[in-house]
Amino acid sequence: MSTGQGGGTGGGAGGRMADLASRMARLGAQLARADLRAVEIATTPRDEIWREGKITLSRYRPVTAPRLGPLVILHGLIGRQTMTDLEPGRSLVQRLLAGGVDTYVVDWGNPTRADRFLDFTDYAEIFLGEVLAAVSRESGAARAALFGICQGGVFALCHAALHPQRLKGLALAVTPVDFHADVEDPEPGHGHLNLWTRNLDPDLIARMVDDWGNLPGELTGAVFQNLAPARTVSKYGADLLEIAGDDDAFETFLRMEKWLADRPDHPGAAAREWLVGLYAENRLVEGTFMVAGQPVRLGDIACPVLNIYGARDHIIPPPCSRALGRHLRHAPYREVEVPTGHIGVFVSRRAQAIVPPAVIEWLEGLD
Amino acid sequence: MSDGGGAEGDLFRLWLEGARAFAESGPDAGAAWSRAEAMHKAWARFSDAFAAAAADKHPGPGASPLDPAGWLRPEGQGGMADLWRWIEGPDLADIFREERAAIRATREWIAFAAALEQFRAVVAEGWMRAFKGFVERLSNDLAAARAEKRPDPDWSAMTALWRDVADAEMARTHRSDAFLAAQRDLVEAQIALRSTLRTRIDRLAGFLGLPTRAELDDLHATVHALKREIRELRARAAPPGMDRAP
Repeated sequence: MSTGQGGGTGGGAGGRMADLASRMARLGAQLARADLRAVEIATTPRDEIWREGKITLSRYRPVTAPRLGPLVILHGLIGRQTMTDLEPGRSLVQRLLAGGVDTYVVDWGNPTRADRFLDFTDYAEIFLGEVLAAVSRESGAARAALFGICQGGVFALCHAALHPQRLKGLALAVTPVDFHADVEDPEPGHGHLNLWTRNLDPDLIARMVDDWGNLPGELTGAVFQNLAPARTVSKYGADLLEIAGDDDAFETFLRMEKWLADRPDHPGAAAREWLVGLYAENRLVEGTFMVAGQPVRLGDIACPVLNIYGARDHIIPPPCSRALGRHLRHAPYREVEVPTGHIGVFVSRRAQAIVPPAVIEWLEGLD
Repeated sequence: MSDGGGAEGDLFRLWLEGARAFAESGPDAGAAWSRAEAMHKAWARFSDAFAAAAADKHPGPGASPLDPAGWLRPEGQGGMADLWRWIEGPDLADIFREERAAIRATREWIAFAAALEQFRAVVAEGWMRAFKGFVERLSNDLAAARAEKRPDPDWSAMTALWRDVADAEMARTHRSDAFLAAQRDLVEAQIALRSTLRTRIDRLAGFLGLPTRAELDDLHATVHALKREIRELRARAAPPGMDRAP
């Protein structure tokens, strides 16, 4: 526990109270003058080059002559890809562009009830295959590298395993591979998603997803909020008071909130495979997870793999990600640990100095 | 009241009395009042006798079907348990179908409310433990600061302490058997309730000629399958490399 001297307003209880009152006043003034509607994220210029229904593929405009790539950023269906371009200074995308990476991003859009039956075959095989074809046409490169994030990493793993020669390389970030390896994590606050899902009978999970149709974004959001409930609440109190008067930090806070609030619904069929086939039955490491009628065998992956994980990731515990190294047989494999949590891998200041350079260096080794 | 036939015999006779009064009342309008009065008296005696018989059969609080304390009990002997068991059976073709469905929905709503309360209770206990732990830690920290003549923790340190203590305690709670059981029961109860409600809403929608969720799902499934077929046909017809990755 730290002790304070009143933030420069003098020691003692009186000084600390004065500091608190001052912070509250500054925060109130910040809130009053903030134009919340003007808060924007993912503003790096890009051009749409392919569309299939709600799904789009965009190419970021290069800021220097592309020398690496093409690299396709592939987020999952929980949360949005905009997190990789939160704001200048906290943008994986901008740092990749500055490093000369020809960068593309997939946006899965906002699935509705009409998308309820989209499953892993659609995302990991069909759409991803068409995305790679579009990138090939646009860039002229025969093969692209994928950068899969969280569930997007699982899509990428499936595609790489089913088409061993198709990818130039496979970068993953905070991607679960062994969904039962959370038991190896000694941190008691890690792996609750894994535990809670295993607590439910697979048939019950399937009935739950069928009942909802799609997995509502509000529901997944509520689950995430409850992983660390005190922290969820304190960010609107103590955390805001901590940054009172710091306009940059306040804007970053608002941008993070905007990203967090933007939770699309998860298509039901894919959610069922995700929760039952992977979280409950751990089929990816068993080699029995089926995509496009084929079993996904991680040992078939042939391209170089870069695996980035957060050491304090309570959503995807590090052992769940790192397990990939045990299941690859032919692929050159490298791990990068980032001393942050799940989202911090992309938005924290420390991660900015680790993740983009690691990806760029890895890409340089592919060409 | 019983003349040797037991409570069931009394009930049957009272029912017959009411039925006879109804049957013997004339068709003229002047007999309507006496017919209604006779019916009322007969049924009042019937319900009194029924309550008395139930009280004899179901001693103890909540056991009688007429005791509201027993209405929320899906299990056990007597009370609403008989009704719950009855609605578990197969539907009867021509009678009480809507009533049974309504009772089923009510029962599932009660089960959901009970599961939700249990879940909230487990979580609330976790928060209470967290608060107790926070108070203990803060007391120790304050005492140590005084003893060592250091400044007391400021508001920032106190909130950080609360956050750390509370999340650590809630992490333990979230891993506890009580929490996992309550969570499982809540999900099961919620699914059962939603399923029953949707079935009833679909029946109503069908009655009003509105599309049901099942019909929309059928449509979406068909479109999904057709899109896949079209994509496959298009890929077969396209030159190599045009529709698929190289």
